[in-house]
Amino acid sequence: MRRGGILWHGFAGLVLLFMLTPLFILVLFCFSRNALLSFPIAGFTLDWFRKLFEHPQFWPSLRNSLIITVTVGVVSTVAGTMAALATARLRRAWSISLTLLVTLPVMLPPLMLGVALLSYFASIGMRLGLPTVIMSHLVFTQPFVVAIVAARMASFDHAAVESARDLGASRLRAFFNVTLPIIRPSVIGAALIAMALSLDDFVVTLFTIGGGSTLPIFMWGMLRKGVDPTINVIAVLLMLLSIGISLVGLRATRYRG
Amino acid sequence: MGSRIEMGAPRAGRTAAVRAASPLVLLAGVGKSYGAMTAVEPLDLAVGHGEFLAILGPSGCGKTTLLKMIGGFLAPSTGTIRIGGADVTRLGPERRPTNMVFQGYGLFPHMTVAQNVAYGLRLQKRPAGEVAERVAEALRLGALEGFDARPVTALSGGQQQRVAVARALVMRPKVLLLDEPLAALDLKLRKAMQEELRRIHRSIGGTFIFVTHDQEEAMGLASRIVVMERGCIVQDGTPEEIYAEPKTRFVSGFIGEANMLPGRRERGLVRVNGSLCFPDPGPDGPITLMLRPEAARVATGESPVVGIDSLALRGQVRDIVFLGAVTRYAIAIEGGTLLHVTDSDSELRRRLEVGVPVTVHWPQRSHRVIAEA
Ligand SMILES: Nc1ncnc2c1ncn2[C@@H]1O[C@H](COP(=O)(O)OP(=O)(O)O)[C@@H](O)[C@H]1O
Ligand SMILES: [Mg+2]
Repeated sequence: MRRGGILWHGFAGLVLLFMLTPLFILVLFCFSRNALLSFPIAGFTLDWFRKLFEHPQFWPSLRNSLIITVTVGVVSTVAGTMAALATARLRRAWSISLTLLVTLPVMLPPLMLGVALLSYFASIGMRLGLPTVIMSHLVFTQPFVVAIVAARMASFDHAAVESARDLGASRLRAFFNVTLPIIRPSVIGAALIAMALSLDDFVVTLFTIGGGSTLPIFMWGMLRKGVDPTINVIAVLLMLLSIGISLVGLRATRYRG
Repeated sequence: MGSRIEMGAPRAGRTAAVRAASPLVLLAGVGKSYGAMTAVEPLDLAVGHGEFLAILGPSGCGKTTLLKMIGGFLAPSTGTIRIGGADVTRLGPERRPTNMVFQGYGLFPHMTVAQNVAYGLRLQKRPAGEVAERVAEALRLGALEGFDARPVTALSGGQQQRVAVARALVMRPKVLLLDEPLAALDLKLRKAMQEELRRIHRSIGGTFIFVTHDQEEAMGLASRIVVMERGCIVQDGTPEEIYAEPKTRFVSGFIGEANMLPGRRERGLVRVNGSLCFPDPGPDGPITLMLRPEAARVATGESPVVGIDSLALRGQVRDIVFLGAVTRYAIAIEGGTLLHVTDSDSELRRRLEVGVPVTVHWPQRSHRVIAEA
């Protein structure tokens, strides 16, 4: 029993090490003087940060990424939650088929989705830019929101909402006073997943952005010119951004009481 | 003496005639269909001020549907609903003078006990002082003093139930609707909550309508019972009336225990089980003789003394079950049918054992002959 316990913990430790080492090395090389990603570390420097921040494409890319991520997060959460609430009222068979239909885009490989969206925007004569990227991101983030919120609604106690109505609340008020507070943790979780997916999407963005750039695209562009530690810095920034989103979300979801 | 909570209705104790003249709740031809499925057949129902009405029926007979139509959660397919004289058929639940305690209670899990109870008053934008006062009263009525600040998720089933009742009563509804109020509680708590609900009903003198599939609950709580079967009202009366004079075979089987013996009536003469024959006026045709287990007696010996207007059947004891206050005997009568008889006589219990030949007898007035449709 005890031996098994030690083995088990050891194994878990190894897995953790395997997963975290690349991230650790990534952070390490951000501060290393070496121009190549190699050991031993020659010394500490902040040059790579300076180089990145001085890059003419960096700030526009960051700005685009933030605009896209936040917009996609808000829109897909609101629309996806509304869709999930609507399907929750339908009969079971209907709600399942509708959810499947909405979830379909997720099953497509991103490459196909990118091509399909590009030809769609071309066919309706829409100019590529941030709006087309945002719409495209909605296509594959919204299904996650719908699925997460719909899963929560499956075990939802509708009597609580009916009670609120009974006590004098309008539909809208009952929604804000009762439904939303009860499902809030799921909604915020869904928003985070949508934002994480949007922030790090490369393929679909590349097809639908036209001339502009986002952080992943900027990174890709730099990679093509040769690997340089600045890449690590962007990667770490993206990582911090993701962790930040998650932390904010975790705080917000903490259930009172 | 007790609470100052009152419902928007005069106190109980009016005569039946006055009640009939001005019912508080009046359903006329109210029915509900879901596509081809009819959940409630068009029916009429009048509920008077101060009544404690049970709508009793097996699961799926349309009780919840009926209650939700009264509360405004479902629009009836046909008919009109009046409460206190006003037509409320088209009004939503927030605009009806009713409040409902849902099956499963529907408490707000993200609020405390006091916040739950205060919710309706807050919506009405009542002054803070009045809200606090009425909430405190309602909590006292529900025996929930000291629980104000508890999250409702940290309460037992019985306490949650009382919060739900307090949250509805604080609104001073003309009619309180309860859907299977005690179904989720265990047996002991159920008995205790029955007493609580009766106490609350007495102390505010309001009008309560509740639905249940549990006949004991209906008998124990209600001053009047409406029995439903497959979307129809099959009988309407006091618990005593329904127990003593069930109109149909379904009602007699559903309310309390009953022995059922098939038979026929021809020219005013009823024949049951081959050997039994007695006069009973009524139309010719198949009948069911309904006999309550406690209405019959068991006698031993060759020629037992049986009353002049009594009926008797010979049989043999098949099973004896001691139930505490009474003992239940299963007796196989001629033809093999089992009759159940309960008796509290311990002397009799000592004399009887499985296999003993006995006579089951009962006075004619204590059975019922129900004509089969
Ligand atoms: N939304 C609905 N759609 C279709 N049928 C329903 C719906 N709600 C209830 N029913 C049917 O109506 C009948 C009565 O339901 P209900 O009033 O809930 O019964 P009870 O409360 O007596 O158990 C049941 O057969 C049920 O399946
Ligand atoms: Mg029901």
